[in-house]
Amino acid sequence: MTELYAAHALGMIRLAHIMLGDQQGAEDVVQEAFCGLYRRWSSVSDPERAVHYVRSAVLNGCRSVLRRRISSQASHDLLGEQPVVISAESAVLTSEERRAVMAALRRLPSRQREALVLRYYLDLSAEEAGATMGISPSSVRSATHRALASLGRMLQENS
Amino acid sequence: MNVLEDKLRTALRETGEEIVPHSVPPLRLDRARHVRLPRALGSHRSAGWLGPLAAAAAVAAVIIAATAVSGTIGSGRRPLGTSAALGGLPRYYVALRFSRHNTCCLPDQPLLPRTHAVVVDTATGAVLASVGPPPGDTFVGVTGAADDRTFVLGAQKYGTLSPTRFYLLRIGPEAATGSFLPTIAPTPASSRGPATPSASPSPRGSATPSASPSPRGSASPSPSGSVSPSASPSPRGSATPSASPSPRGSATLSASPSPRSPASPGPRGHWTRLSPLPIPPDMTELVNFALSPDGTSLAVLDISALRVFSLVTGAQRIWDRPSQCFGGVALGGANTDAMLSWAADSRHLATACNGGPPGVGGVWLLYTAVPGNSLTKGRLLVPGPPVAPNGQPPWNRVLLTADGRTVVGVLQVHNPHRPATLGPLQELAEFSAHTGKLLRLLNRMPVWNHVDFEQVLWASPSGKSLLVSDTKPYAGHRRAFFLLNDAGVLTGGRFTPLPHWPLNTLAAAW
Repeated sequence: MTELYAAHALGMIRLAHIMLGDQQGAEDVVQEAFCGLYRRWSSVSDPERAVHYVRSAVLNGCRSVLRRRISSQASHDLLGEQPVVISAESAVLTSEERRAVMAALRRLPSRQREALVLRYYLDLSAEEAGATMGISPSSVRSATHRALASLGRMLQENS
Repeated sequence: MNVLEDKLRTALRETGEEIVPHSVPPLRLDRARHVRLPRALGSHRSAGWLGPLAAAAAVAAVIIAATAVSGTIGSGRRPLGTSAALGGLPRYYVALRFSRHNTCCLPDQPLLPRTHAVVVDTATGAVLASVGPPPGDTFVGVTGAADDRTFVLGAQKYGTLSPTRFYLLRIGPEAATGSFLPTIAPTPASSRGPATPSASPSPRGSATPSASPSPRGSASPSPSGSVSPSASPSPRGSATPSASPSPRGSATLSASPSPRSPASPGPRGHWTRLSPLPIPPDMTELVNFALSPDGTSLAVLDISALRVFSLVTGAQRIWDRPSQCFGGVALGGANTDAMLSWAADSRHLATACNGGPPGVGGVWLLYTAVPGNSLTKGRLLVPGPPVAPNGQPPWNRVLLTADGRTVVGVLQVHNPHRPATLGPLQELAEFSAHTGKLLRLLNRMPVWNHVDFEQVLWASPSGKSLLVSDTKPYAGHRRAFFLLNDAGVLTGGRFTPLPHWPLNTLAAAW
């Protein structure tokens, strides 16, 4: 278990960070995913399966956090709360283009966003991405296709 | 691959790389019951049998964290425009680091890690000298004067909450070309007897140790016997000393050649020296201490009083802290409440009454050249803010800029609309020392783990450049302490990391 964490925690946190844009949230999601794995260790002790399990759990966790964040943000907006300010250093270090791409990515529906991240960040095949997302490979391909089209449109509108 | 896909891959990769390997926290399976996550993830379904297993998991977590730390020590990071951005910083700093990082955090192990002090070149991150505490002790805090050469270290018995003894660390005046001689470690308290003044005023008014180095780099004992002169330069002249107890109980140093400081010590070589200070070690619950810019006074804050010691005469003055002020957190980690800040004149001292009622709570300025009795006899520079409903005091850092115009603070802020599960927020803010009003809000961030506050380690005279660091809890199950996770200069919204900042740093002073 600890070996698995040592080997995959960084990659999982990075994956969650991409999905959430928030390191603390990403770390929490990954911790919880490994806790979930720990609870099910007897049934998923095969390392290969365990990695798949954790990756799926991380994506599920990110989905939940994003859902919660959206509803929470909506109520905050009604109440006039200011969102958390990004620290000055991270703002400076983020290039404009990258920021635009990531902003557009985060506007995509969750399935399309996940498909893009799994295909273009983790370089998973459609079959592997489908297994992680719990959908068929053809659905992954079509989600990816639509996502790229949407992303291109959004970036063009912004430029 | 088309352009869009290329952009996407680059953006994803760069965003992922914002998470650096050494920032990965250890696995904590006991978090299943506490993690701030939606219920959908089942965090509330964790079974009771998880508890006993969590202890074993914590051991593994410590091992992982230790591996992570050891893998990054000395590896450094690529500095970004370092030389220009760090130009205004003092040349040297002294940091407390720990090396036995796997011996600190288990439930039955001591509260404090065993630390040693290092003298570091700010611009390069190179360790120029290293010194251990007296045998059986561990360093718990460090503070520096404005001359870039004079520091005071606090040490306590390792493994217990004990009185703090203070030691003067002085970098020799010839330190101009990068070479250092071995540091002279003090004799242990047991063989020292009553605290003996070993500092004397220099012509410039700063305290200097009573023993001076010989031309060949080794030192002679002081008349009081407070210095153990057992270090000698290596044949090649450079040295990375390490302290070890001698059979007679005094600390001795063994110097070994260091490729990082290849220089020849000699009559004009550099030297550092550690000498005990004449301060009675009768304070156990120390919160913070600060050396005045001219090196002649040491302010020491404990949970009930503020004391100012003259390092020249040994005299002390005491100001009571109102009982409504939050006591503070005991020394021993980066999350220490840093609530003392001297003005450039070395006479005025800013400190906070944290969480006191209106008219009492806030940042106060004391004039220490005359006797006082209560903190509130000073001038209230920045009033409030009130204690948050969660009971946490607002101030976590107070720093008065050298021009006396600005108070830099790190505050915990309360927002009634923020869900408690997301934890509190902190703000790095600048206030006018004249009006008490907010001048600039530099950043606002969540507080990791409810206790991970940003630190301000140094400020330029005008406050335009701040040396800041975030803290990070070190792997612990029931015991945890805090490390200065990352440090760099924040100027005009740009953050420039210090080079070669290792993850085993507990405290640092410029």
